[in-house]
Amino acid sequence: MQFVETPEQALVAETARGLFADFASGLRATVAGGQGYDRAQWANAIGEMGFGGIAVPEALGGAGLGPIELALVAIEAGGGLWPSPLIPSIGTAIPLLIGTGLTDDVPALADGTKIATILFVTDEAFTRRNGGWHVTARGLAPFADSADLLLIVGGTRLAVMTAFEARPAPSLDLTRPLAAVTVDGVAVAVVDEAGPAIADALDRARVTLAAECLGAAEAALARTVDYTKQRVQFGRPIGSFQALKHRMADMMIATEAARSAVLYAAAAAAEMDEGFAEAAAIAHFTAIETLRRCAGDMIQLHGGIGFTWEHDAHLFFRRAQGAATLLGTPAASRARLAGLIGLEAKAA
Amino acid sequence: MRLGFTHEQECFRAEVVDWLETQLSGRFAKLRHLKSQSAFPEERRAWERTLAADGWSVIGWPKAYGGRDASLAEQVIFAEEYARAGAPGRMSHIGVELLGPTLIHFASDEQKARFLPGIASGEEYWAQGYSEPNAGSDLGSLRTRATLEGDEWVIDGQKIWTSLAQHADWIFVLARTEPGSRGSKGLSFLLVPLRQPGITLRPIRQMNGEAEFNETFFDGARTAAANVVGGVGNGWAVAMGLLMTERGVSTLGQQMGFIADYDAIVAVARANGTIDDPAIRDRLTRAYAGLRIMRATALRILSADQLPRAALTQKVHWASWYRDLGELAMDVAGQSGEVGGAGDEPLSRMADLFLSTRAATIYGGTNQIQRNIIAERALGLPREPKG
Ligand SMILES: Cc1cc2nc3c(=O)[nH]c(=O)nc-3n(C[C@H](O)[C@H](O)[C@H](O)COP(=O)(O)OP(=O)(O)OC[C@H]3O[C@@H](n4cnc5c(N)ncnc54)[C@H](O)[C@@H]3O)c2cc1C
Repeated sequence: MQFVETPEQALVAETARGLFADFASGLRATVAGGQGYDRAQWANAIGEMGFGGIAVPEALGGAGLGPIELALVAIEAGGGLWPSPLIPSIGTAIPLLIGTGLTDDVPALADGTKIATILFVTDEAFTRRNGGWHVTARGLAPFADSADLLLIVGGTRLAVMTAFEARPAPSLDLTRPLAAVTVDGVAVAVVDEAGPAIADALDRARVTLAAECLGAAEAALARTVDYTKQRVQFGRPIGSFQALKHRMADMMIATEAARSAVLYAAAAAAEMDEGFAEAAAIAHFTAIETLRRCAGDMIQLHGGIGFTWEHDAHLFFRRAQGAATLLGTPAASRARLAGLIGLEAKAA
Repeated sequence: MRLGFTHEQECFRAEVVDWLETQLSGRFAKLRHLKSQSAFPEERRAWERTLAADGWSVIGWPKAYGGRDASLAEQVIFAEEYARAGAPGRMSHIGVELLGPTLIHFASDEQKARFLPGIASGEEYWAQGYSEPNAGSDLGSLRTRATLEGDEWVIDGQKIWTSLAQHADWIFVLARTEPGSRGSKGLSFLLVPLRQPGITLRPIRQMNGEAEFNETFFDGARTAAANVVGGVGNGWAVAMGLLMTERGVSTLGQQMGFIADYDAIVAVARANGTIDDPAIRDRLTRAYAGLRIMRATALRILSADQLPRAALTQKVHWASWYRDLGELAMDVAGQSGEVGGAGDEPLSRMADLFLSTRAATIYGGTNQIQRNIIAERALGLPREPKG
């Protein structure tokens, strides 16, 4: 037992930190540009740097590392609020396809030449037709307008679609915009009765999302600390007022707790630990709640400037809300956790 | 990063479980699931000596001082199984978890040889003499003084809130050894025999009804000149080193103990049906998540060569979590939890948790002081004005 990053893992984090710091200056342009993400940055981080395949087995063109390394990259991406399909395509679609054995497209997703996104549907979306599965559904999916593949997740079934309509929707989360998706066609591939594999893959995805939220929360804190050291009122830096110091201390208590939860869940994923589902649920709701809180405090501690469009604080706040519905809500994760630890209500 | 246990470590677990079960279903059955920190002192001493005799008292210490050089995994296993078995709170806690590691770090070889074996063997118990009536959060304003007379320190002054002093043989005292010095300068960390004419104890009754802490009066109390740790005038560094241990590192065992409190609340919730209340269920779920996160943080702290930032945040985190748990306990128990429990227990375990957990956010440095420390040391924010 050793719960600390190895030197190799620390190097992954450091490399990612440098890259996403370089990307940061482009954030506002990307958001304003309406494309949702910057194709050059995507090719660079996912393809050239190999972050897309970091947790993908070498046989499928990846680096053969694992969930911990992916989480470390996601933390750094989150720190820069990197606007990209990282979570749907790399964080979610890849584990879903690997977990269900539909690996044909994995190499192209891992090197970033293709992009995938996910749509959650109910059972009624699927009908049997001519020996194949026909899917009829509408919904919202992040970056669907840029996606080559649409993964349809319905309970115990996963379908892959290449023909679908997607219309970008003005989205609350400006750094991970949603698109309105309409599907009415035959799936190119379907895996049925894959409940456990899908659940496990989604848990992995939630951990990567949690890592990204953690990085964003830590960045919100760091920026708030910097600002309150510089901003002077009443003749002294506002960061010297205890009410603000304590608020920032509480932000850090929350981010450190989230960091423990995220790293633990990532390590549990790497080891296929039997407690992984629990750990994933804890990491998921904890990191999202932490980001929402830190983003909210970031706005408050910046005063008026924090309420402007100019300032990035609202991008963090918006991201927190987008994250809270992307792969299930924090409340849903707590409900799942309650079941896993035997706290479900007695049957009446 | 690795979380899992090896086959050898699982064998170690089996050994621990077996030993605990044998002891706690036999000779020490009456200590099992004991909640009071002050009941049955004689049996608890015997328990400490038995732990020591079989090599379980200080497994993380170096072999040379009575430990086993146990790995992190083994320490985790031991702490988990100790809590799971319902073994009693360690009466030797202050010596084993606070002073011992401090001596290993700061003391001379002679001091280690003199004091560590007594702690490890369960023969000598310790109390912590920091706080004074006018020096609590502002510990640097303490006034208890010690003067070298011949080959002895002579100590005059008063300490307060001295936990478990009634069961202790020794007390470590932070005292002013440089007359006229102020603040954190001119202090020394002294090891003082507690049972002597120059020291008087007066128990203080706590809000939970117990009298675990005391006033400690020093009136010409004496200790050998050699019993100063870390050098004369260097007491602040030693005292703060100990506090870092108290706030961050030593808490693995304690947090494992919280599992038993959580389990007890869940058991009440099942018995009285409050588990069907979605709001209660959600709070229980959050409490459970908190337990797992604190465990993960403890692992991070114990795995690191250099203390991570989380070592600074862990105290407020667990203390606040525990205080919330106390409120949850009574919300689960309801009115029937407000009266005596089974047998001769004056109050239910839930009521006791409700009251006792209020201490967690005060001792070892209050939540407010911890937040100041986090803000200044970890975040680099401007320091508080000093009086
Ligand atoms: C159960 C229990 C056991 C204890 N055991 C021991 C023991 O064995 N040995 C020992 O030496 N001590 C012990 N203590 C004492 C404990 O360390 C002190 O109570 C604690 O440090 C606070 O000091 P105080 O009581 O003087 O409160 P004060 O320092 O007077 O604080 C009162 C309030 O003011 C706040 N405050 C003070 N200064 C600041 C500031 N700068 N900024 C913001 N808020 C501030 C505090 O947070 C607190 O809320 C124990 C206490 C308890 C409750």
